[in-house]
Amino acid sequence: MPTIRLTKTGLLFFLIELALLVVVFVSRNPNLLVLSGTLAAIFLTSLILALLNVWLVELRVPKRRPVGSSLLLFLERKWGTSYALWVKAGDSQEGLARLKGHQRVVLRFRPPPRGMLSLLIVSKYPFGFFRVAKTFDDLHLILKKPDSSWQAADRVAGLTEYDGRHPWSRLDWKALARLQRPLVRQGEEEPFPPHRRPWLVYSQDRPSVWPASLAYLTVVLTAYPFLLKAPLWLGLGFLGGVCYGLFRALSRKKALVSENLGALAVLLVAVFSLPGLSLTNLWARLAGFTLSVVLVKTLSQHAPRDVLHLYLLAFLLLILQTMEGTALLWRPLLLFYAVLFPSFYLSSVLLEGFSPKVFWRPLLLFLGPAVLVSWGLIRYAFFFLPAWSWSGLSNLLELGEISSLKLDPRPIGYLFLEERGKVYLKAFVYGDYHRGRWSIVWLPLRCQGRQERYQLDLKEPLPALPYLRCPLKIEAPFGKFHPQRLPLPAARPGTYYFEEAEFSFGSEEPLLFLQVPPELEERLKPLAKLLKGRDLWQTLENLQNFLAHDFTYSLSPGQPEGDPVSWFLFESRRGFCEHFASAAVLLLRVMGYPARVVTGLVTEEYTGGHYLLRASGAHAWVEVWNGQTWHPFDPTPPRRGLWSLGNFSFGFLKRFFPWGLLALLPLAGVYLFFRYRRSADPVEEFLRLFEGLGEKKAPSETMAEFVRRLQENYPALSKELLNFLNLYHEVVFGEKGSKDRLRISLKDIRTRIQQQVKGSGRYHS
Amino acid sequence: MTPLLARALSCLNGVLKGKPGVVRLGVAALLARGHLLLEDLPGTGKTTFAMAMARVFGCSFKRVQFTNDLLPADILGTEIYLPAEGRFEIRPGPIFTNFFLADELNRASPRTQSALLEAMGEGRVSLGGQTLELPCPFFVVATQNPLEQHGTFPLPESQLDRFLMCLRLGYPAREEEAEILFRDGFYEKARDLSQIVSTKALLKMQEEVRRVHISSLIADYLLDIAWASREERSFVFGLSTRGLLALKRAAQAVAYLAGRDFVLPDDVKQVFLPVTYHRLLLAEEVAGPEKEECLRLFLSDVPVPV
Repeated sequence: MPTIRLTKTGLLFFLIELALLVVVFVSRNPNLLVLSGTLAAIFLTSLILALLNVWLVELRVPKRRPVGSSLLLFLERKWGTSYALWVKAGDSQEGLARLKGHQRVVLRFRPPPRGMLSLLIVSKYPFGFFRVAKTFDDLHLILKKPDSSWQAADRVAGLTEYDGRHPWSRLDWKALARLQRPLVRQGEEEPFPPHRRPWLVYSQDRPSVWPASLAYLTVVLTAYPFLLKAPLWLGLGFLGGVCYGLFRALSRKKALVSENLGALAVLLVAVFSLPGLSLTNLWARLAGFTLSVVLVKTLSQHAPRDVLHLYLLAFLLLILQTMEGTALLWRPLLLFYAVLFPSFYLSSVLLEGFSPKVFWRPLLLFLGPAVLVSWGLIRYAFFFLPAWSWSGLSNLLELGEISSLKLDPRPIGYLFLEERGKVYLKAFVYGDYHRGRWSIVWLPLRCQGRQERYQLDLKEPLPALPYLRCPLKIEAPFGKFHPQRLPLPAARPGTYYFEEAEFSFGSEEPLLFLQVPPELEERLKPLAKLLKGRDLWQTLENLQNFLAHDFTYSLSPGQPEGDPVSWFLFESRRGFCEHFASAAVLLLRVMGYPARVVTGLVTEEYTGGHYLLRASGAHAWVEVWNGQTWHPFDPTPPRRGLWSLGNFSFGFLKRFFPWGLLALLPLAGVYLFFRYRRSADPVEEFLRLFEGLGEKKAPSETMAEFVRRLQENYPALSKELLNFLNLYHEVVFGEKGSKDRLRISLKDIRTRIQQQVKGSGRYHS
Repeated sequence: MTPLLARALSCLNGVLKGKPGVVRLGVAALLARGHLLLEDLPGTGKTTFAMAMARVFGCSFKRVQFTNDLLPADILGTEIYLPAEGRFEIRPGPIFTNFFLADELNRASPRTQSALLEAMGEGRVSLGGQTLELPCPFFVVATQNPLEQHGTFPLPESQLDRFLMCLRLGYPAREEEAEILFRDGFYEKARDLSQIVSTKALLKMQEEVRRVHISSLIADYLLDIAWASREERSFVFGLSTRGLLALKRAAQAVAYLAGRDFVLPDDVKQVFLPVTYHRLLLAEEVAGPEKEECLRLFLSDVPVPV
């Protein structure tokens, strides 16, 4: 059995996943849940692949044996991103090669005179979370020709004759005896039949510049929402920094600052972003910090580790984006699937050597479970989020109670309803006001009008079941019932089906809602007179304008002196929904309109066929009697978002940004084209080409000696190689003509190799 | 390579069986206007080789067996008084020839050795107040016996430096030796060889060898070798500038023999051993194959330009 180990990347990933789950548990953010679930799916897929012992590398032995006593083996990379080989002969173990970018490797080595010769292959699964070591035993036995002693062994095994084509031949029998799968398909003349034909991949001795470029592109795309909200100079500065980093990565510059200095800079940024940190600006500060770290990273060397860091930063930005809104957002997920995931995977494969076969197969395999899990979580995220005991709405509304909930973005339920803008779910209706306290009113239910059905999924217990208008019949988890009065009974988590009428009637009702404390009535009368319009609608408009312009919304208005409503109206002029609603109700009552304060849940977040209800959606608003029905009216002015870092977001940047990025891509392509064209020395390319095939020129070896060696190993290329050598001598040492003459010859060699691979599937004749 | 040269080489190979490398390098030394030192046991075909070369290139050939009582005059010649005519007449010694074979050079006294070496270096000889030019081409083949050290005067390094190459013939392969055994009389065959390359053609070839192109990469490679040899701990001293020039000329000649008008790193590698064998003194006293191995090891540490 192979041994499976968690790699460093895997460990890091696992820790990140754990941290994410903790954050999900605390914040109950459905976006994070979906993201972490997707990541977990990728991680688990990798683990399952490893546990199922899916073969990363396939070892094959050609049937036609090489001359002499050396072994010839073919290795085909199937899944892994990279692998290393060790040969163990007897007691000594020697490293053979660390291979990158090979789809197929031809190994030749001498079997030891005595003892077992085994091959140890250590390979990484895609994404590099797990490392697997697998041993192939008795390699020289595999290659030995059957002789008398073998036949004896076969007889023991119940085989009378050695038969290379028989599935129970020597080899398979040995492999089965060791509980291994058979190593070699005997009877295959061709080591690689047409449908399994390998791709020929040239490895690069210089690291590719694409992973770093892709990482920068990913960072910019994930930072895009933050950049739009930041002041123009900040956004342009960041883009400039990233462009500089991209330039450094493309020109393969060495690190500008040492790692310690970089860490110091990051620490400084962290210290500077600490003062004034609060719950409201936490995410903005974190985003700013992350962007600064990206800028520090642009000065680094862009080694594989730096590329990994950039991806981690991009991922952090993605997570921060999901913290912004608390609705299920498609954007972060889209970014994850369309940008971060493929680009990270492509980068990691590029770093190990790219080949389309090894790229697509694992990608599709990983993408499947990830998409499935995230789709499931988006649909049913609600059920996977942890539940907390929840309080807030109560039958005695004290002013200041709701503000503590306003900062709590935990989702508490889903409302399945067609989209209709802002939705108000009522829980309690309050009647009398006394010294900053509203007391609840019990109302009989008499419903009338068109009927409507909807579904409410509750995750949290609530002091009263919230409803839309006038519930006729409710299917609760504990049974069906017809409610007789409002408010509805306390609700525990579960699914509720409502049948509702459009409105309830009762002519006596409005008269219950005219009470104003006498001492307050005197103070409010002048203001009420001022605001009263021709009819109810004009009055409501006046009221709305008055409250929107002269008052500020604040979650921490301070401690009221005396009556909270008069303090709010005449002194502080700062408050939140309860203050606005209370003031509006009392003013309306002073004017003679029946009005009442209603508390419940408000939501605008419509995703995937349902509204999302959150603790922060707890709200107080007004219902005013218009003569026939209770008309909802929300006097609270809309709140400014948490994310307004400044008012400088420029529209043109917003419009220009994605197109500008797209325009950058061809420019980068042109740059790369010219760069590679200029630097490609045909001699270097020639050496690299054969290094990719495992033939490296020794420094003290002359080209002629090297070519002679190649001719021995690749007789089919003999003519082309000689041509190249003669041209090379003339051009380089005879200084006749330019090196361009060599390119043509090099191209011939390439074509010939490809013909060889496609034609017969082997280089060796 | 000119067909003339090819014929000459094949002719020489017909006489000195199974040593195409040695033949090639020997001819290269001639083409590079150098001199040749053959270091090997007696009876390995040194004289036959020198004789054959002289015949093939149509030159006059003289041979002197060096002994410890040989005097400079025995080589250079003397001034003798002619009583009948009442004047001194110069009798040129055997050195006045195109090919001069100095057998067992290390047996002669230092005085005699230096007389010969001076003539090799200068290309002229002073006799009785007269300076006589040596014929052109002038090619010395000296042999040394490495085994018999008794009663010999080893050549000092400075004088060894005058030889372009030092070749070791070694025994022929078994099959070749069998052929020699059956078809005796190679010396006679060598003596009876007819001229293939005229002296004029040889001089022209020597001129062409000088013009073989040395690219800057090769110049760097040569300098790398020289400088590395000076830093190498296992050598008592490194390659002299004359040694470096010798390396260059030998490489040019080998390139010319291969029919090229430019030098490859392979040429330099090919001539490195014969050019430096007698020039570089190892800290540990080893000789023969061991020394060659040490030199080869040294060369494998110098990166080749591409």
